[in-house]
Amino acid sequence: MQEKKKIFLVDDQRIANMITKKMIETNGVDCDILAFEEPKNALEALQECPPEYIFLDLNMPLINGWQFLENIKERFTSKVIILTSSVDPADIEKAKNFPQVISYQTKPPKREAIKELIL
Amino acid sequence: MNIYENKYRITYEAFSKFSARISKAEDTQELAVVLQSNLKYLFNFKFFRIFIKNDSESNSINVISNSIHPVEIIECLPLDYEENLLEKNIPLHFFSDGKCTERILKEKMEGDLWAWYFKYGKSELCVSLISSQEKPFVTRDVEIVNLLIDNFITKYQQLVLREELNHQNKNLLAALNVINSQKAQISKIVDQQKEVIDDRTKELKEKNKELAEISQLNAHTVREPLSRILGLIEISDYYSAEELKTEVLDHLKTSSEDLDKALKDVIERSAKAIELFSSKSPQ
Repeated sequence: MQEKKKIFLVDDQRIANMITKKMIETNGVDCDILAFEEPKNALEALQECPPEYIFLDLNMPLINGWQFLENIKERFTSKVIILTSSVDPADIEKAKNFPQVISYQTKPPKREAIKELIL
Repeated sequence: MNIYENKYRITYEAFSKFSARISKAEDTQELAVVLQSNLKYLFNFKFFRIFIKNDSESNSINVISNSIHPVEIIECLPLDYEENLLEKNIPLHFFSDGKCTERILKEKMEGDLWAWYFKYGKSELCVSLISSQEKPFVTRDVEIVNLLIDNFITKYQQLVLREELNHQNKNLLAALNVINSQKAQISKIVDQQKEVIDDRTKELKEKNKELAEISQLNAHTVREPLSRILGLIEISDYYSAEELKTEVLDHLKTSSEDLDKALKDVIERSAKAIELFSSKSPQ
């Protein structure tokens, strides 16, 4: 039997995390989802048990998405899906500098796209 | 060798010296002085006058024998007998009581008056002289006068032409100076305009950048709560009516309020930015 996929959600907006979580759960993929409103807590949790996927918001206070990416770069193999309300082309370009980022999604999350990414 | 031959030998020697000096003259004034200082070696005279009439002006050179004042070329009207010459072109020889030359000489000079008419191109010449009974001008000397005038007028016309050219060159040079200074002024103006344009362009670029940043920020601020609302609607299918009430509706309310607040912020910020830029704009 296949092990449950482990997924982190990192977004300072509680409601945003709730939406993403519901989207993944209703996809029919069996996952273990952990939501973090504080990126710092997510980084700590990473040390213990890194997940397969991280859904990462960019615009966050204290530690933003880019700082978070810099932090985990070359340390963890978790695949990152950027999930942001920013539609700035500069951000999309910048994301290409991080090989861990497998997708750049704009909010709200799309069920079909998420399903394809984590299947 | 008789006395006439001897006299003419000397005269022609004097004439060749005179010719050589004439050819060296640099301007018409110098030419007149050369004429004055050499004339006495060529023939007898008390007063010698060349009147030159051109299209636009008439000048005269008046040489008084033994005068210590250098002659000048002066602008003047023809004397009475010269009017006659210009009209009929027939040489004159008569005894003058001095009245006809009084206007020029400021005194009455009596004596034999000889006068000839010459025409060279557009120039008409009246050459006249007065000689005394004791040292008379003689018919034989007319040939020398002819040669003299021939040499003189050739050089005179050449020098007048040169003076005109010099004058025109000066005018051209002055015009060139004006053009150059205007050119300098124009390029200065162009440079200033360029500077102004550069400044304005820089200012506009800065404004555009600031506005772009503001709009970027605005888009993000508004999109964040909006995306929550859209997301909540998306997942609402997966909740029961009871769950919708307790879990989703409340979040929708919060998110809508956030969106409202974000829009208000954006409008306020844009208004401020527009006000700031319009007050910064150069008039």
